[in-house]
Amino acid sequence: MFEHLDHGNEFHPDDGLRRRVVDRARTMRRRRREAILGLTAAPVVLALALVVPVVRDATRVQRITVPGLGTTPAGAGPGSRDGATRILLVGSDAGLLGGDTIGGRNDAVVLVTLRPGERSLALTSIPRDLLVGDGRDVPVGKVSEIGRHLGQLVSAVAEIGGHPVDHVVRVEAAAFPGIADALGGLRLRFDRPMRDRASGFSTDGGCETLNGDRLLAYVRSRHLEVRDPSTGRWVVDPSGDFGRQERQQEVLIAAAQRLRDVDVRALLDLLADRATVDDQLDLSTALDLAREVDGLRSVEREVLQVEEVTTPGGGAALRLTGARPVVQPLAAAGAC
Amino acid sequence: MDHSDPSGFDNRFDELAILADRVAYRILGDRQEAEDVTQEVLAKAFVRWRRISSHAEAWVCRVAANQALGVVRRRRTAIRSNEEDVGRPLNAEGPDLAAADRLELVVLLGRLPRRQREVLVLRYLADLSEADVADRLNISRGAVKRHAYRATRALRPQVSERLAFEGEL
Repeated sequence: MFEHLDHGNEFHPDDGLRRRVVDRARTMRRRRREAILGLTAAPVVLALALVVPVVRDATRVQRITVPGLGTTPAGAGPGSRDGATRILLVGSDAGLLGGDTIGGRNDAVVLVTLRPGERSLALTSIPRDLLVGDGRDVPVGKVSEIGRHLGQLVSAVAEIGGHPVDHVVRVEAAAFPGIADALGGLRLRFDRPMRDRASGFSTDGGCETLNGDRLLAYVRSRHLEVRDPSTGRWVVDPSGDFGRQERQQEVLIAAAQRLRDVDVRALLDLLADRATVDDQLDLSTALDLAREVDGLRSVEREVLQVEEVTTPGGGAALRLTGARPVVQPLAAAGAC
Repeated sequence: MDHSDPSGFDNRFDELAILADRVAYRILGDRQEAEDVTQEVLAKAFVRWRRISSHAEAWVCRVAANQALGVVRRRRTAIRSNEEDVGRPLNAEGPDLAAADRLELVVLLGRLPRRQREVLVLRYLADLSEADVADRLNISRGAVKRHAYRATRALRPQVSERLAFEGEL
């Protein structure tokens, strides 16, 4: 039917193409591994956000001035300052370069909203492929890319939510495996048997304590299967990427709940030179926030409504649809 | 590639590359761009091989079409941003007929429902037989015919007439 469109096409796969395909596949795999590490780093960042300033003098955790913190986004209504405290948690894949400019990409970005009085907490995962920026103060780009400047990332996230961001904590992915073990593993509840043959994760269901390796396999899972209790057959988990975000947030909560039991100094040793906090997150603020986390009654997740788009460069990206985020209960504190 | 290829990707490399290139070239009409798309699609297939090997042909064709349409969109953005290029045919190399049909094809692919688009790509861009398309998509041959008919009737009348004359419709 369209054979005439083959005019001028002479294609024969050769060894050169094979080599280029393999090289490209290696790059894709490396980026995927880096992204996974970044995503996995996010769960422990909340805990670190609250304990890092307490003993900052005894550590090499870097404190920097981040522009845009506490600034009401342009066009935000009078309700933008609602008394909540918003902390931006960032899992990075590279080292620090100094100032508010940090190398590498932001592979995991989660906005934590603490509401005093209500003893509630909301988590909003900001997809790394989300296009943000106004083209003026913040250049248009993906969250993962513009975040090299924390100030721009802070402004972009404030714009998305319509509320000022108060604090920011950033941790390198390389610190995660040790941190996960330093937490003594995380206890999670699985409502049925699950497995992911790609990442190597499996569980028979019920409450289980996951160490660093199993936690990594769980959070990195992209091909999760669940066993149907009526038939005993394995079926693909239909929740897809949203399910993955939810699992990451679930792990984040479990990590925060381990705060009381961990050896903070051992944790901070693992963070030496691998964490950055803003210089407004002082001791009294951190203690106040820690008290709020300790007494949580409810945890919600806000799901941003996004749609797929193609960038001018031909890549895949996401953009906000304009619809309000969907709010869902995530997990009851101490559920397992 | 062979040392990290436990499941036969290497054995099927040529076959899949030719399919991806055919789909990409029929949409793009540019040798280099088609090869770039082929390289990207094959690399993605390699990374996901364990998951897609059972339906690799259909997967490769679908991703190649999507990737090529992305290139077309990028071209249009570039053209819009450079007034001197406005009016440049999408296919600068091939004959006008091919350029017009490519434009038609891109527009069509962009607005077809998912199943019709899959059938169009596999049947007419990858040149798979009706039986193969039915097998790859796990539908009946009658369903392939039905989707193909519905997809192609949206073509411009002059294209439809020419294709009918050629016995395709």
